[in-house]
Amino acid sequence: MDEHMSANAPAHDPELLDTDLLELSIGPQHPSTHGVFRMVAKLDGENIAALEPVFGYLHRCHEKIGESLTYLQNMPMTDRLDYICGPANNIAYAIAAEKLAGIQPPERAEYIRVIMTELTRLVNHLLLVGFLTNDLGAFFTPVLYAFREREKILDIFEAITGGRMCTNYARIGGVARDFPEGITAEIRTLIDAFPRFLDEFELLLSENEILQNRCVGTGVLAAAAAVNAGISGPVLRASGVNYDIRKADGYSIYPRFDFRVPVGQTGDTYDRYLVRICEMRESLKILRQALAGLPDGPVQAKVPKLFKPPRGDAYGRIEGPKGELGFYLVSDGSTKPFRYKVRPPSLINLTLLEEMCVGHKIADAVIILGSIDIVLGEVDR
Amino acid sequence: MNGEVRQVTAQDLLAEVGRLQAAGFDYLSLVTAVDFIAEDQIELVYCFYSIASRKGPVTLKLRLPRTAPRAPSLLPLFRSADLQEREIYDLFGVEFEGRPGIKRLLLWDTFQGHPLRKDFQPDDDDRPVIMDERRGQ
Repeated sequence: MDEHMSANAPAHDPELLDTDLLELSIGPQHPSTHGVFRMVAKLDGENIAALEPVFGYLHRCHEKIGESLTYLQNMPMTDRLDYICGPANNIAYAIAAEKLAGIQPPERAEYIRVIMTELTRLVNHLLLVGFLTNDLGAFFTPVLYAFREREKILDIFEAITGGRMCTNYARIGGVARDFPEGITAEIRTLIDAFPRFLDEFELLLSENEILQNRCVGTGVLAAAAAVNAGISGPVLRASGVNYDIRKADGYSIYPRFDFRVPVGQTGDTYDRYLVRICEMRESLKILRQALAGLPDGPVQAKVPKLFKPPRGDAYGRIEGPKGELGFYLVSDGSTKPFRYKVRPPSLINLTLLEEMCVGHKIADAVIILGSIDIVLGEVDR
Repeated sequence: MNGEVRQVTAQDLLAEVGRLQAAGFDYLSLVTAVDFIAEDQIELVYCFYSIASRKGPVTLKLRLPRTAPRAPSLLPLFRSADLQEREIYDLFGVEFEGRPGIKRLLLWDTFQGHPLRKDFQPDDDDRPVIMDERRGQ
């Protein structure tokens, strides 16, 4: 790689003609920003000298609305945060509410939640890898393969929950309804066929020369900086930090499963791509074990129809597909949360976007943003 | 709150966070605020975790007066406070000392008020259009 690409600021030679920086607004309506997100880039030629992210174009008072709805009414609202990962959002919110009231969901519900979360992780990572190749210029060919597989998982979501993206599936103290008959066999068929698809997908991408040329060494994020900036999820692990909330907190029934945490080495865009691929393989391991151990029994703990948690507060977090997804709830003893706060992983993962982009070409900023994995429904709330 | 909770004051917030950092709590996960309007106070909530020792959360809570709330910024110690403090400034109107030029995060710069305060009156359709305002333009 040539030297000036990694330098932090473009050098100015006094002998040369001094040129002004060009300010370019990328977005909010631009396909490469994955939604209504805006980046104000200061360009020196084609190199990025400064970059400021601008938020708020999809702000819809999610947290304020949350204070005017009951605890249960908030459940379908959480689907609309990160609308790629509906089930994971539902479950994170349910876990926070259960912490607030001290409720333990039954065994079978815990297993179902793990299965749903890991299927969601597959959906999310498929889309991420697909759209990352789109940002690289492989216009829609890899995305179609990713979409084909995602479609099968969405069919399973539809059979279980009635919804494909907005699933509204978790409930405080369990899940909305039990698995329909025959669905475990369908999931098993899916995860048996999935490794072959992943191998094929990797054959197409992982050693692809263009993908490597563009991604290796692009947007390096150092481990210490990532920890200090609260980066979480695959982005944090790609920088070489072995931190997975499923392991660290051991919430739900994750300690029972045998899986490993993929960790990157350099923290560049290629590592962020590869961590997602490896995480999909680990999710398949968890799915296989969870399906094998799925017990019989109720899927809902005894919770009063009118859910009124005692006064107090609780912070519940899960390892969401995009990172640490948390809900901070404050109860005043009534049926509605006094404060309903979402800890959005994709907003906080954008903290270091400027540092990751400066010195790179403008086309690299597009793939760096793509590899961070944002959904504006969650960033702006 | 799950985990250890410590009440701190605005004066010793930075010292307490420094002590936590020295004890290995290197990950500031959550910064948020709650508007306790009945007690005329705004509470800031900070959740710390330790990545190395897998411990946490340790929660710091800081009560501020509701009129002109000011707290020291954690940005010099934790970069993760950056966007979250901007959000609190935006939606609760808490000023942070030690980070000049703070901007709203989600709402536009000319927006009036702080919507997550409990007494915020939304500017909605029920409000009549006052013709004098329009004539003045």
